[in-house]
Formats: sequence, structure tokens, C-alpha cells
Amino acid sequence: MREEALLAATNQPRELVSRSAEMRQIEAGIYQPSSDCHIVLIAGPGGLGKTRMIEETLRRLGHESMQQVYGRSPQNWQSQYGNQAIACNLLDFSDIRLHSRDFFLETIGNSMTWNGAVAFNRHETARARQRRLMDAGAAYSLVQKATEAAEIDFRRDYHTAAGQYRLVVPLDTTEQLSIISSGWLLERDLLEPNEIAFSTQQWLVDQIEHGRFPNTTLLIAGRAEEGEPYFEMLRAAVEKARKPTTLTVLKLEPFSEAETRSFFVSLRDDWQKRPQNNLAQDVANTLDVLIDDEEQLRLLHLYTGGQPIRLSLYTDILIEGRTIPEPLQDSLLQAYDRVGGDEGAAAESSEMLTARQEIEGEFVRLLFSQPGLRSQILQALVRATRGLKAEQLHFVLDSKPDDTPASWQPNPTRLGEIEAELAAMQSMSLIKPKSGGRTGLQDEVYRIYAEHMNSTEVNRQAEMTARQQLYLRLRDWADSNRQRVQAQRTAYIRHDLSRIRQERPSTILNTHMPKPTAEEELRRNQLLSELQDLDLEYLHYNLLLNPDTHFNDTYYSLANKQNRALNVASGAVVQSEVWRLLQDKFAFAFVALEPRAATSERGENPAMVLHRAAQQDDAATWVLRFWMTKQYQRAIEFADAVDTAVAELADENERRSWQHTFARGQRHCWREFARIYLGEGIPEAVERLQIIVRELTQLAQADIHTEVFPGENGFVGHPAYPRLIFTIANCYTVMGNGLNVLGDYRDAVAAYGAALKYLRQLPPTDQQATTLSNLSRTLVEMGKKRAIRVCNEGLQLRLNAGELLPIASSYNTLGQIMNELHQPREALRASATAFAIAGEVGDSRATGLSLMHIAEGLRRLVREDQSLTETDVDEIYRTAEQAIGQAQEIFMASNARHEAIRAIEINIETGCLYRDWLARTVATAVPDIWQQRLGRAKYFLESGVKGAQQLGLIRFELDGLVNLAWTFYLAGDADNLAQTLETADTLFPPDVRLRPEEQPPTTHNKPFFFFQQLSKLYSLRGRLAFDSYFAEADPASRTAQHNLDRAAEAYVLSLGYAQLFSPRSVAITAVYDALYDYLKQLDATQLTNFYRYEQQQRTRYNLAAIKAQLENLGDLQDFLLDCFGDYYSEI
Amino acid sequence: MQLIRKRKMYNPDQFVGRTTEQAYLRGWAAGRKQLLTITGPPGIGKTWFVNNSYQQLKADGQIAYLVNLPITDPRNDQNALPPEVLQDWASQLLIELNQDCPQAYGFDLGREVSSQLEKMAQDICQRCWPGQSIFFFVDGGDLLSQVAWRQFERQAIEPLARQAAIRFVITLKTSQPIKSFILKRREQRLELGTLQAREQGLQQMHKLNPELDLAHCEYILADYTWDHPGLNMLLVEHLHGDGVVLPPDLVTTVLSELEALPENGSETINLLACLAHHDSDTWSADTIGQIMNISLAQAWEWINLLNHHSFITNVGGPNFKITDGLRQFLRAALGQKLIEPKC
Repeated sequence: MREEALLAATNQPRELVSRSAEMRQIEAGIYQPSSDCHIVLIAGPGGLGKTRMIEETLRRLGHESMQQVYGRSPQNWQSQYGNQAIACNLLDFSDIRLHSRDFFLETIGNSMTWNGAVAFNRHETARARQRRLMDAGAAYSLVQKATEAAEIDFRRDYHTAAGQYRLVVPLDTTEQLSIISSGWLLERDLLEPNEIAFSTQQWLVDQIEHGRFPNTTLLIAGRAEEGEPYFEMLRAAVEKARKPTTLTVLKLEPFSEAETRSFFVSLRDDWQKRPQNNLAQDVANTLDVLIDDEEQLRLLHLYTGGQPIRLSLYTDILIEGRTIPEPLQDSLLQAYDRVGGDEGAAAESSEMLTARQEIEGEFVRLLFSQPGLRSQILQALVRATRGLKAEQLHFVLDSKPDDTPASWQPNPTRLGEIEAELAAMQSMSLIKPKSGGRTGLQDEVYRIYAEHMNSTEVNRQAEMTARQQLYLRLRDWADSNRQRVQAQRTAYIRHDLSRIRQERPSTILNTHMPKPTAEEELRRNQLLSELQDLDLEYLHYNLLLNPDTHFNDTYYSLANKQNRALNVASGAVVQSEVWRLLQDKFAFAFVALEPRAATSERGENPAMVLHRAAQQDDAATWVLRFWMTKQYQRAIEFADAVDTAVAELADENERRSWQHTFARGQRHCWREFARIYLGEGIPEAVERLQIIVRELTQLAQADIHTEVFPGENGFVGHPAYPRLIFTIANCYTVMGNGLNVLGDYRDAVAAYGAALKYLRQLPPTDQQATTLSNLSRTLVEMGKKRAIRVCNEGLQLRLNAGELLPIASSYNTLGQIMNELHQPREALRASATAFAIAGEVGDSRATGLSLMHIAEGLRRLVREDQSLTETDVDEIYRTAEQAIGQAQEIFMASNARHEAIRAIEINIETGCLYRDWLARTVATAVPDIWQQRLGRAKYFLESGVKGAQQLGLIRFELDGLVNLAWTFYLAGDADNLAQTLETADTLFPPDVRLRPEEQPPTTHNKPFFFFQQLSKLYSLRGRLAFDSYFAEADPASRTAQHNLDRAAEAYVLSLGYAQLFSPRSVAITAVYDALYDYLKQLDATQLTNFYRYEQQQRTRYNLAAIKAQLENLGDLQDFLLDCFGDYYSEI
Repeated sequence: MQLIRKRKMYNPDQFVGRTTEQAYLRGWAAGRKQLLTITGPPGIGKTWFVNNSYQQLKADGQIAYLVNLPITDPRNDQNALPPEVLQDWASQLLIELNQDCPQAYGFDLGREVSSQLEKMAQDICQRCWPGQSIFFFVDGGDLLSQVAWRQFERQAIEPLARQAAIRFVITLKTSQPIKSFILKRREQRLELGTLQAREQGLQQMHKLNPELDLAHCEYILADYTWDHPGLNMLLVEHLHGDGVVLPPDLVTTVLSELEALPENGSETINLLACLAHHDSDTWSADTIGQIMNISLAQAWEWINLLNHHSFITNVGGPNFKITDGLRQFLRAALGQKLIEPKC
């Protein structure tokens, strides 16, 4: 039946019809005497053959793929000019990924794109590194540098290539570059054009302006009307260009009558060359009649407007249609009468449109009434404007309704048939290749079909139902595949992690991830790119199924996934997909947008509301984007500038919408986030977040019919509900971060708990992992062991997501927690894994953190493990010294330098290392070394204290001072010790202290570190008292008894504070260890005395009262609140 | 299962309705288009209409011929017309024409059929009836295979149609196109639907069997609209006089007599029953896929099959319905539990 294949008569003529003047201009633009850049802009309405001209250019330049479709050109430029010029493959901007500069560069800077004619080795290597970093989710600054490096290498490679050949870069569907998601912001000068440089749109213009396309012809095709804003930018860039740049604009006109005739002659010639079957005869006979019939030709020209695609389609209708549609049976005079004049007058008259619709109705009928695979493929294609691949078509056509993509088994034979049919269809004028190997149709065909099916309500409804079913299948297909690819990616990651070999403590810095082979690396990159594509596809069909819901749900979580991974470019691509769909009127005609009462009352339609929601989302995303790129100040200023611009909006509906509590809340949440990062006004930021959260929660608790604030109803039952929930969770997490920095751990835990409570209503995201990780850090600050459990949950979520750097970050947190809990072996295992991953990814911040935790782990290991020999100990300390030294370097010198807190922490840890080492060094053996270690311990601890003072961070200041005091104690430096203790003492607020004959302080609303540090201090004081006691010759003397009493008091207080900090605190064990060592030296009388003093002091300080407010380890409620948030309020 | 197609010979006394269609035909006859194609589902009365029109035109004093087509098996679209069949057919026509117009002699056994016909056409138009329209009523275009019809168009219709005075009234299937572009451009179509009113159908039933208890028939097949002439004719035969009894295999019998059923007849009837049972009159391949739990491709195969047998009609884009009359009949049968849809 192949010979009867539907719409076969729409095959493109092999030879380009007419357009010879235009082709000469293109030829001149390529084979010009100078090496200046020449831009040939092919502009015109859709369906005039712009793509065909690019294809013809490529064909004449000897491009293999075009020669396969159209054969070798008789006008082969290569044989005429030799190999002066080469072209890369056609780049079509209907592939949304090309809108991202990164992807565009990756494509154009790939030797494959140039079919191996030139090499882009430097760029490919640099790009592979950049991709690996992005794949791993490396920090933005790191990716940014790699991106810049890749771009520089691209330019170098490009220059080299341009030295060898004239380079031709064909770009199609460039009108899509006019769709700017940030239009609203740019119009109001809220964004600088250079800030959107991650878009190809801006990049291309910049490159042209900077004269960075040497010896190049840019062949840019696009629809004139839709593309005008972008073409204007191009024109301006050419005018400003720093190097001579020529712009030739080819305005494509429809075919004249004579050209229409040439079109038919060309078609007939093609058909005569084909095997003569019935179809070929029918087509050739029809064309013969047409060519000889002047009136019929003019009639066709009139109705098609000389537009090649329409010509081709109408001809097919004449040949294959059941009957000839009435307008095409007209005489020319009748036709003029029908459309209200001749060509000039009637070009786009409503009568003309009606006549066309009547003709095109026959095409739609043909599409659905012909048997055969081709019809079935076309039926699916005409509804799926994104284009389809053979596998998708196979699934859509051949699976049963109750088959799921996961359970369905493809049939290779049938798949082969579909592939063959698709291949045979490529020469049809209706077909347009789409991104990722998909096949699509010309926009004109989508238009025809959409208009036809939209013409009656019955048709529209039926079409909507059919599309819903199709989109549902395609959505499920994308979903199933993205899950499969994700699982593969995760498997790779788990496999890689399992291959990390555990080293001995002294050689721990050798821990590394095994290098993947080139093949493995390629496969990983493929998976990533597949996953991105499938994510977009999943989003696309979800949006078509229910734009309201999925704009707020799928889009938001996908954009967030990219943004969380600090992947600005990919985030922007996801956003572009939404914008493109919002502009796709053919697809949107059949999307069910449910009108809401509130919307209709304002006289607006759901599409308008969605459009504005997208604008508002863009504004909020930009605040986040500035945060991601560490431009905290800019983020704050930008958010404020948006508020100002909004206040000035003239349209009341628009203004109110932008000022809506939810829209405002989203922007402000990110703004406060930036503020907390900037470290300025954190208490105010927390307060503002509390207000935002309170208001948003009110919205989340009321239904859509209940007014919460003037003119603002609740969100229960609103499609944006999940997004609101996500935003509230986000605000809580940000608030938790702020509270954490302020040392208000209890409230921070409550905030994180609230965030998790909301996040649990949504599918798991990295946001959840982040919140868990933050929560676990806070819990351990409170001395709570449950931090491990919480941290591990976050780690599992991240392992499932398969992004390396976040995984490293979770391991780092785990390392930190284990250190805090005095479990050095576990700490070392976790932080060494983090170190290996960070090294692989090349992320200096994660490396620095892991080194810090490794150093601490090693230091603690020596303390805990009594079985180590002196040699072991020395080796381990040396390794720790090396680790902390590297961490120092990284945080002082690398891109992470702005993190002042990290520097303080490192200083303190370095000091502690030297102090501990000092304790193991015999002072008399090698006095120099002893002195040196003491000096270093003092120096680093003092630096830490100073740094903390500068930032007003009491917590670190105290930590430094207490450790310094211990150092002086170990060094036997009584004066400095006394002075340090005194300084430290002044830092504690009065209400955190245990006082004789008073009730113990409440721990509520007080930073826990005060109790932790007080415990450490009093433990030291206890030691001092015992030392004094043992120094007395007569243990029964008054002084001696006084010292024993002081020791008892100090230990009572130390343990009291330790309990106030946390009854589970590992510090308690340490205190008991020391105490035990002293007590075992006492005889019965001495012990009795100590017992007596202890009893007195315990009573004096009312320690029994502490028990009442102590955390009850068996208290399930406490556990629940810590780990899962407050659900009691729901009861 | 019977694969038969049962037709009752045209009987002018039993012909009812179609006045609008007749007027349309007269309008066409007065106009300039050379071809009038009469299309419609099986049993809708194309043949009777053509016969009736032919007689009326004759009665009006017009020159008109009723031409029957050579017979092939339409179930295979690739079945061609054997040359001798076509030659026999042409010879008969030539003889008939020669009787009325002795000046016309296309007989030349050495020449191709098309040349003979072309010559004959020229003769009758110029020698016997110059300036007059000559009408050929061609019945059964819908019974030829696609390939055979293409041949017939090329070798018989086209040569005759070179004379503008020769006009054709041809019956075709609804979905069947005229292949030749030259003829297509001169074509006008008349789609025959059901009778205009229920009363006409009942009048037809009465003419076919005056004994039948029509009120009872209407009662037991309550959903049926009685406006499908072919179905009416078959029902008259199968509904028995006394008390009117519904034979249990009524649907199968009637459908297979209306249009030769495909080999998987019982599945076809089941699908039709399911579709008749469906909430809405119109549906698409997606609907079939859903209700039968089959793939879209399989659903399309069914649609193509049902369409080929003209049980269904395209109502725009991807949407179809069971042809009028038949749909109501199936609903009536569902109501009487003569068929039980399995879907």
C-alpha cells in the first residue's frame, strides 16, 4: 500500500523553485572577497520556504544530509569555489535548549556539528569539564568559571577554524528568540541586558557587536512579524559592531503566478522520474492539467497566496481529495467574487479565510479517513506540536489503554516500520524536523488543523478529549522514561560511591573516586542530556494537560530542581519552555483552562492570569538567581526595585495581582534569604519572614471562596496551592537558617520542622534534603544524637536524586555531626567520602569543608583511641595538619573566601589541633617543637577569637576563648589562663548562669552554646581546683579542703551546664572521665569529703530543679517535634 | 455467517420520498457539471433513486440510458477488471446505443475499448442528438474495487466524457473519490441520507407489506426511526405478520443482507453494538481504543474496516458516527437485548 501513501503529493520539489536572486545573495554573502562577518537575514511569513533556502544553501555547500533528501545540486558551490566555505548543521531554535548559551555553544562548538570538517578540541575538553561540574551540581562560581573558560576556548577554536575556512552558521526559526521570559522586567529597566547573557539571544547579539564572528556568514531565518523584536536587536548590533559587519536582509515574497507554474513543472518533473505506479500517474496527470490550465493556476495562486506549503497542500487536495472543494471549482471571476476582489484586495480578507478553511477542511478529512500507517502518524503529529520520535509513536499507536509505559513491550518490527515511514515522510513539505530527532509538522499545518477543529464547539470538545488522551500517554511515556534514566543515573552514582576505598587515618587524604573511563563519562553525559530532555517533555505535556496546576506544580518543582542545583542556564531553559507554550496558540486552543469566579469578576480570562503568573514567577526567580550567583546585594535591590515598579503600575488589576500577598511573599522570601547570606540585619530578616509566613499560612488555610485579606481569597482548591505550600516551606527553611545563625536553635528546629511539615505534602525535592540537612546541623548543635537520623534521611534523598555535590554536602554534614558527637571514625568515613566527591567534582568549598571535618576527626580519633602508638599519633596529627592547612588555603584564597565564618571555624580547629598535639608532646624532649606548637595553637585560636569578635559572633568567640583557656592550662600558663577565663566570663549573659540558692536558668529562648561553653569552662575550673588540692601538702588543711570544695562545685556546675545543654551531651562523658581520673587518687576520707561537698553544692545550686526542665530522653513528644515538626496543632 | 448482500429489484410502486433529491438532480441536469455522483451508505436507496431518476428523465423526454457495471469482488481493493469483461460490457452498450442511433458505429474489434467508446460518443452527440444532453445512469460504482473503478473511469467514463453533452449520474461510496482529475473537476456530489420523515418510512413499510402490524413494530423497535429504506425493506421480510416476532438473529441477518459482512462479522457486530451503546452519537478512534481496550492503531483498523463497509460516516476531522438509521436500529436491538455489547 506504500504507493498510496497519504499526502504523497506534498513531496517537496527536488529543485528549489525560483528564489534565484535570493540564492545569489546568499552565495555572495558566503563567497565574498573579505573575511568580514556577513549576516544574511531571511525574513518572511511562515510557509514561504525559508528553511528550504537554508537547506538549499547547505545542499550546494555539499552537506551530506541535504544531498540525501534533495540529491546533489546541479549548482554545486563546492565544485565552483572549492572548499573555501563550510557550514555546520542547521540549528533550529524550536529546540528550546538552544536558547541557553551553554547548550548553543556546546552544539556549535562541537566538531560533529561541523561534520568533522573542523576541530573544536579545546572547547570540547573545556565544555566536558563544565558539564561534569554541572552534572555534579557544583557551586555556581565554579561552573561560572568553567563556563567562561569554555567560551574562551570556543572562541579560540572558532578563530582557528575561521582561519582555514569561511564558516557558515545556519540558524532557523529565530523568531523564537523574540520570546523573552523577562520582557516585563527588561521593559521597566529592572534588569540589565548583560544580566541575561546566559541566553543565546543576548549572547549572539553581544558576539556580533564585539565582532567575534570572523570570516563567518550567519544565515538567519525567521518569521518576519514574530521575529521583528529580535531582528531589530540584530540590526542594532550590526550598527554598533566593532568590526566591519554586513547585513543583508532577504524579504521572502510569496510565489508569483509564473513561479507557481514553475513549482508545478518542477513537481511534475520529479514525479515523472519516479516509478510509474497509479499514484505517480494520477499526480503527473493532474499536474499536467494544471500546468496547461492558466485559469486553474491563477485560481490556485489566488487561494494559496503563492505560499509554497499551501500550494503543495492544495495540490494534494486536488489529487487525493474525495471531491474538489467548492472554492477550487470556481472560475477566476467567481473566485474574485467569493473572496471580495483580486489578489491584492483579498489577500487576507475574511472571505478569503473562509474559502481557505473550506478547502483545508478536505485536508483534515483526508488525514482522518485514509487507512495506513502514515495517516496514523500524521494524526498523532498534528496534535503533538513538540514533535514525536518513532518510539513515542510506537507507544501511542500500539499500546492498549491499560498498558503503562513501564509494562509495555515495544515490538522491534513495528518500530522499524514506523522508523521507515518517518524516513519516507521527511521529504514531504508538511514535515519539519524537530529537536532531539523528533518529527513535527510545519506550523501552517498545525494552524489548519487547529482552526478546523476549533470551528465548531462539538469538534473542539472532541478534539480536546482526544488531545487529553494523547498528552496523557505522552506524559506517562516521558515520566516513565525520565524515571528510568534517573534510576540509571542514580545507579551510576551509587556505583561510583561504592568504589571509594576507605583509607587508613594517616593516609586519608588519598581517598578519591575512581575515574570513569571515557566511555562511562560519555554515557553519563548522555544520560544527563536525555534526562533534561525528558524533564522538558514531561513538563510540556503536563502543561498541556492542565496548565494551571502544572505551572504551579511540575514547572515550579523542575525549575527549583535546576535552581537548587545552581544551574542558572537549565533553570532558564525550563522557564523558556513554559513561555513558548504560553505563546503557542495552536496548542493552547485545546487546553482546558478552568475559569475561576474571581478571575471572571475582574473581567480577565484564565490565559491572562497564567501569563501574569509567569511574569511574576520570573521576577521571583530573578531574586533567587541573584542569590544563586552570590549577588546578594543585587538580589535585595532588585526585589525592592520590583516593588517600586509594581507600585507605579497604572492597571489596577495588574498592580493588585503583583502586590498579592502570595506574589509578594515569594519575592520577599528570596530577598530575606539574600539578606541572611549577606549577614546584615538578620534579626529583621527573621521578623519579616515570620510575617510573610503568617500571611501565607492564612492563605493556605482558607478555601477559594473565603476572603482572607481584602480582595484576596484562600488557596485551598486553587491550582497554585502546592506552590504556596512550597513557598511557605521555603520561607520556614530560610527563617531556620537565620535563627540558626542567631544561635536560636530551638526556634530554628521549630522552623525547619514546620518547613518539613509542608514539604511532606509534596513529592520529595532537594528542598526537603536541604531542610533536613540544616535541621540535623541545628540538632547536633543542641547536642542531640537524632541529628544522625535526620541527616541520613537527607542523604538518602540526595542519593536518589543522583546529584554529586549535594551528596557531598550531606556527607560533610554527617562528618560534622559525628565529630560533634565524638564519633571520629564515623566522622572520618563520612568526610572522606565528601572529600573524594568534592575532589572529583572540583568543588573547592566542599573540599575545604571536608578537609576541616577530616582534621577534626583525626584529632578526635587520637583522643578516643587509646591503642594508638606514638608513631601512629604523630602520623595522624601530621595528616590532620596537612588537611587543615589545605582547608585554610581554600577558604582564604579560593572563591569561597567570602565565608568568614568558615575561616573562623578553621582557625579554631587549627588551634585545637596544635593544642591537642601539644598535649601529646613532651615539653622537655624537643623544646622547640613544643614551643612551636604552643605558639601556633595560641595564634590560631586568637585569630579565631578576633575574627568572631569582628563579626559579633559570640558563639565562636566563646568557643575560641574556651579552647584557648584549655591551651593555657595545658601549657601551664596560669596568668594567661586566668585572664582568658575572665574574658570568657564576661561574655555570658547573667540569665544563663546557675546561681546559689536560686532556681536554675530556663533554657528556653537561650542559645544552647552558652551552656555548652559554661560546662567546658567549669570542667576546666574543676581541674584547676583539683590540681590545687593535690598541690597542697596537707590534704586536710583548710586551703586543701577549700580547693576540694571548689572542685566539687566546679564539677557540679560543669555537669549541671552540660545537662542544661543536653542530657545526652557527649561533653558529660568527657567531664566524668576527667573527674574519675582525679577521684581514683582519693582515699576514703577524701572521698567522703568530696561527697559531702558535692551534696552541699548540688543543693546550693538547686540542681534537682534542673531535672524538672530537662529534656526527657524517653519523651516521644520531643522526638516528634524535633524530627517531624508540630502536628499537635492539627489535633 | 452469511456473506450476502440482498437487494430487492426496483419497483416504482414501492418508491417513496426523495422529492428534494429529485429537485437537486433536475437542478444539476439543467446546469453545466458533467457528473453527478450519488453517494451514501449501503441500502440507503442509491440504486432505487438512480432508477427512479432515470425513469423520470425518460418520461420528461430526455435521452437517458441506464447502464449496469461489470461485476467484480469489491472486498479486495486490488481486484482489477479483466479486459474481456470490460470489452463485453462495452460491446453491449454499443449495441444498445446503436439501436437508438444507427448512425453511430464504434464497432471495431481491433481497437481498444476506450477508443471504441470515444468514437461512439462522438457519433451519438454529433450525428444523432446534436445539441442535446445525453444522460448515462451508471449504477454500482460502489460495488467495484478501487482498482477496477480506476480502470473503468479511465477506459470507459473518460472517453465518453470527452463529449460535454454526455452527462453521468453515477453511484459511488461516500468515501470514494473520482480518480481522474479531469472528471473530478466536472463533478457534483449528492449524498443520499435517510428519508426525510418517519412517516415516509412507515408508508414504505406499508407498501411493502400491507398486512404488517406497524404500530406493534414501532412499539417493539422503539428506538428505530424507520427512515432507512434498505433496513425497512429487510425488516419487512424478517418481522412476521402475526403479533410481530423478533427473530433472535435479526441484527446479524439484517446487517449481512444490508452489506456483505467482513469475515470477523460477529466482532464487527459487537463493536457496532458497543458504539451504539456509547453515550454520544459521535466518537473517534480514541473512543474505540478506550471502550475495547485496544491500541490506537487497532482502533484505526476497525474504523477503516467499518468505513469501508460504510457502516460509519466521518463527521469532521477524527470523528465518526454509525450511519443514520442503522445507529437507531442498533439501539432498538440493544433495547430488545437482541445484541449484548461486550466491551
